[in-house]
Amino acid sequence: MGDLLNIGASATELYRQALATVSNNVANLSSDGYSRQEVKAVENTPQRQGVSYMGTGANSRGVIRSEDEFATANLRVATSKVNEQKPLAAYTDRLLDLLGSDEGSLSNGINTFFTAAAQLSGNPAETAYRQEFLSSTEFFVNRSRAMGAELESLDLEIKRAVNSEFDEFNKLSASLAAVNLELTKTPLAGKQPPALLDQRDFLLLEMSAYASLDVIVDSSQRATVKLEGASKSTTFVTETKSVNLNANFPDVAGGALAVMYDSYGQNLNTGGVRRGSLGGLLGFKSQILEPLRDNLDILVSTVAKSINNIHEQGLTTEGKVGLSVFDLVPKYRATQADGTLANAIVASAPEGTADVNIRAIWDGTKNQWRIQNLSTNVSTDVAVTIGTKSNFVYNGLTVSVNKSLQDGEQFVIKPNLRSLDNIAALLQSTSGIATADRLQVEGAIANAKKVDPSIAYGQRAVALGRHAQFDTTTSLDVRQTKTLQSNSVEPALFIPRSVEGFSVSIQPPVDKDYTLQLFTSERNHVVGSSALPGVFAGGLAGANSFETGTTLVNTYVNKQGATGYKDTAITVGSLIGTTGVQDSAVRRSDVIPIQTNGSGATQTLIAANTVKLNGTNLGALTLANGATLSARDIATWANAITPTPNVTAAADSSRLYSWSDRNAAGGLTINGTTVIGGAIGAPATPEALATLINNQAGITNVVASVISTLTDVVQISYTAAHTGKNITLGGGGAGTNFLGVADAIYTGRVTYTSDDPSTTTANPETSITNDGKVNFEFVNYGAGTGTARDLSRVGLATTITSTTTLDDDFLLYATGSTAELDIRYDVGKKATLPKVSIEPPFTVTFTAANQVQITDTNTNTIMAKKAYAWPNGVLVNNVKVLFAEAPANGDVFTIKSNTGALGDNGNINRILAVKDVGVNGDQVPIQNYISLISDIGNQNNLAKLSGEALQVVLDDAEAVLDNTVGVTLDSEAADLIRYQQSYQAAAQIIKTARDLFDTLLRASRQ
Amino acid sequence: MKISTSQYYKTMNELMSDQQAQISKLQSQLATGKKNVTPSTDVKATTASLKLSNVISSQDDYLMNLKNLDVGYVEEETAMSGMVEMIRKMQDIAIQAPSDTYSNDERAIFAVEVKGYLNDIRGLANSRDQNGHFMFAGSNVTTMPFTTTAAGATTYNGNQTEIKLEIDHGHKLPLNISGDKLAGVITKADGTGNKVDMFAVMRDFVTALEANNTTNIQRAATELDGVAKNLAKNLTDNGLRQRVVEERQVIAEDKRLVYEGLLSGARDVDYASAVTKLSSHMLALEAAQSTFAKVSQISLFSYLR
Repeated sequence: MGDLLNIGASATELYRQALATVSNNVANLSSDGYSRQEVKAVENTPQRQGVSYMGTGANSRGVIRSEDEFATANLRVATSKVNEQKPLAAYTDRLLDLLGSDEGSLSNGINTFFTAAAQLSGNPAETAYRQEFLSSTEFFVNRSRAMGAELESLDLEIKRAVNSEFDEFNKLSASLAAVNLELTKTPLAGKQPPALLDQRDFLLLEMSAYASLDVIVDSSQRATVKLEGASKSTTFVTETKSVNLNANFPDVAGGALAVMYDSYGQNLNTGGVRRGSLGGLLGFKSQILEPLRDNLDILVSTVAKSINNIHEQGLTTEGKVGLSVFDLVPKYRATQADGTLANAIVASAPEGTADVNIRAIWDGTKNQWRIQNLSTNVSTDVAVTIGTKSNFVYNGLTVSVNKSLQDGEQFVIKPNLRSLDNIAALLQSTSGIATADRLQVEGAIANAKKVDPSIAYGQRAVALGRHAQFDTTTSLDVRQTKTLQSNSVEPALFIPRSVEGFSVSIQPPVDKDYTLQLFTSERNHVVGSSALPGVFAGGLAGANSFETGTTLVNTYVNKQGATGYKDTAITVGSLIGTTGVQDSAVRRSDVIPIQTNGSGATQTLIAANTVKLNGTNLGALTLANGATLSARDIATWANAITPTPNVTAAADSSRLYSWSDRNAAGGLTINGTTVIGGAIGAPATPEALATLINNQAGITNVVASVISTLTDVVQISYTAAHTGKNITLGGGGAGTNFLGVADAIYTGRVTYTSDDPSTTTANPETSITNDGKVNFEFVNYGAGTGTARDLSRVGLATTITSTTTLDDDFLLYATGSTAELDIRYDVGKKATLPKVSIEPPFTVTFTAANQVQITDTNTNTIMAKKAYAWPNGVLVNNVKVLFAEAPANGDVFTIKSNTGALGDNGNINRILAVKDVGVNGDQVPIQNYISLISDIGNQNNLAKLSGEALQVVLDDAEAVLDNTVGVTLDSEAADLIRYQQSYQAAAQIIKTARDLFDTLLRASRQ
Repeated sequence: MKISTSQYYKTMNELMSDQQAQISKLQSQLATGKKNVTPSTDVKATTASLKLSNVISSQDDYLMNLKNLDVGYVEEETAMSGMVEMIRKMQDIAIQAPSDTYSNDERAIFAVEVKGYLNDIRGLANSRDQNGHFMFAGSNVTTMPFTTTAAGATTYNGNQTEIKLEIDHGHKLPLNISGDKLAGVITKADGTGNKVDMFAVMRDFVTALEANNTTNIQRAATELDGVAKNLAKNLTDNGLRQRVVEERQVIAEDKRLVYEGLLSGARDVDYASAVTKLSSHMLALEAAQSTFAKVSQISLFSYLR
């Protein structure tokens, strides 16, 4: 009977537990993450009684937590997906409201600008419309900047949201790690506290709302977590601990956004977040917000640049070329360590400077800056600008600091590259608006045909077309040497227009001769031979470097001043000093090349009357049979001419030898006399060498001395009576002699000194030949009377020099000997002209059928003669003159600065046409803007639709999980009744057992 | 499939919120009269309305230019008609004056009359538009285009520029006739073939009358024909342009109307459909609320008493 009691007792215990569990379920109806629990009832082991087994009742195997691993994981995935769409939808909504609203829309700004331009075009002379145009530029700029600011603050908001979401996420990670630690205490499968497991699943679900996770649950039910798709090394919740994840927003614009894993301070890139609200936020930032800002930048800068370019071609009512309408130069911004703007730091770089991204750290002990270049990660120390407390200059960036600094204080300085934010309106006055064309073109009244002419501007790129290949190869403002091919069809050197003068020199060997030929790209021959060598001229006809269709103009060859090309003076020869300037000049020749006469008779090296010095023809330079030309011969030749050109020539053949270069084994003879060798042993010091040489001076006329200012250098020269003669060195045999040089005849140099005008003439104005100049020129360069070789013979180079800035591209050729030759050139830097200037007036004359002549009006210079075929225009530098129909032969058109700038709307009409210029493809600005909105709209739509669809998936996943783990009041009520009844029944068993026992007791009492 | 109690409440709650959101959106549409109260509520309507606003503003620009042109042409026409009238009178004189019936004195009177016409024509050529700018000066609108030298010759100080205004995409019309076109190029009838303008012709005519040079007076008659023809050509151009402007105005107005209609369609709310939708959403919400209220009452626990 005891068994019966046991059965009853264990059953009541079992159902009491069951009732408690049901009650717990009901109580936790609204608890987050709660899984329904059940008591697991099991049958007790039956007892064997004889041949049969008797049941011993039931007991509880414990409280079992309902679970469905698959459904739980599914729910996490669905949660991540739904939460990804939420920020996408919400933030694209924000963007749409910003971009599409009447108040904020950029399209309104663009429209306003073009409407103002249209109105101004109808009334160019009206100040009121000019004022409105100015206001419209301000309006456009303000719209753009306001939009830029909104997008910037949205970006900042997203950064903050990302950071705070990571904070929340990290807290959840920490909690999960704590749960894992608790679970470690009960490693037995199935025995873990259900509440801990609920908490684990709940935390994981919460975390998946932020990001999609890879979760691994071990046998102890501990969950280890990494971001989906990340490497195993970046597991951030382990069995025992968690580490924080953070967003890393790059310092330099355009850098990649990374999510870092901070393990013992070592940052690892997890490779980004997928899905979840963080995935949504970061995705919105990188795939929607950033591209939108980039595209808006392109839109704004394209429109602004197009307008600038046109405006800079036009003419203002002040008669000046227009300035930029919009300023687009990147503005530098300095931020403090906490990310806020540092207004006390003002940084700027001139237009065209490469972007500078730096972190500047103040070193208070050394009073200097430590500059970390954020682009290259290289750090350097930079001193403060002299005369300032802490200003500095780095890579072209000028930084001024208007505050006192603490040691270690640091700033990040970088340019804001967004045109959207940088754009500023530059025009301030109504008279600065370039509404008019800068030129006007008028047909002469006597023209046979009334043809409407017009002008296309900004044609420089077209004009340059053929020269572009050369334009980049000529380094400006640096002295250069290069080897060129003579007689070639294409030029040896291209000299671009607008440079501040140039010089080009050759000094050919004395056995070769060349003529330099200088042309404008319009085939105007400026320097060279009057008649071009036949083969060369034939080749030039097909040269690609000249403007197409041009005919050779040779009116100005070698002419200067009033008869020269554009009245300028381009000189050729060896010239030094400037006419009209009182100053002495010194020209020192190169070492005279070795020229020995082996002809058997006297030889004429330079014929008489081929070269002139300061305007006076020089006589013949001759050389006796068997002689070698010396500097002394040349000085004598130059000094012999009358009338005196006020130049004195002095020859000098002294040379320096370094003691360390000596050949100790070599002998030495000077002018045939032994100095070292035979009985005379090698000297041990420079001084001893000088003594040995001086010992023979009586025979050789050559003396030596040790130069005191230099280390161990011996100078060898002729005595005064013999100065400038050649020195013949020997004693070295096949090798070098004691001086370390080969046995040979050594020539000297000639120095030409102009008479000091202050002592030779009282009035330099009236006697300019006495001015400080040493000018070797050719008697007739065009005819070949005087050539580069003549100057080479006396150790001088032949140079073409231009000192004026010309609006012409020049092409340089060399004709003559076929061998390559070296050329030295120095092309001045480009003059800082306005980007566009008003062209000097010119005329276009139709001289023959299909032939035009372009004439510079100011200097009456024919600039070009070229072929013309209607409807092509006539290209003249930066402009092209077009005609509505073909003009008649003899018709003349004058092009000059516009005289009616106030009433002309030619240029504002061009600006107006920018509204139809494609941006980033073939969309006009407004369409481009609208399509940007459309794109955002599509993404918004997609996010909303996906959000709805994924919500259904999430609901479904919740329902599936709910099916297993959810608490339903009805079923709990049913269980309550069931377990209550079972409990009552079990209690009845106990009562029955007691009754049976009582019955037995009563029976035994009788 | 089992539905847990909390899941049931959550689902019902969401459904009712959705309905409420729809109702609120419709309400604000009805209140503002616009489909997209904020751009994000209807992207298509937003982009369409931005596009249409843009084309409408273009049409407005064209209409404004057309109006400017119209005014300018009428002013030009008035001035040139006046000139034609006076040239006709001069032509009459040129035909009458050589006749022997007129004495030298009478020719002197003719000379005075012709001089008067010359001055009047010059005055008309120096006409200003409604903004006070010279009409026949090319773009040199602030400089008086026709002035007289001490010797009595008339010189042109303007330029040949024609101000062009856009009247449709890429299509421009010149606003003005430049002074040199107005003055024309007339070949001298003296056999030299020299080219002069109408003022020189008139001045030569005056000189001929003053000098009683009948040959030159007759020659002036021929040359005045040239002047008249040049003015007639300019007037015809002017007339043609006026017609183009008129036609273009009609076209631009029509286009504008069409675009306005489209804009209204894209932007403005259709009240009938909005109200219908509102009622249907309200009905659905009411149904959801009342069923929720009832169903949520039912629980097995209610029977455990």
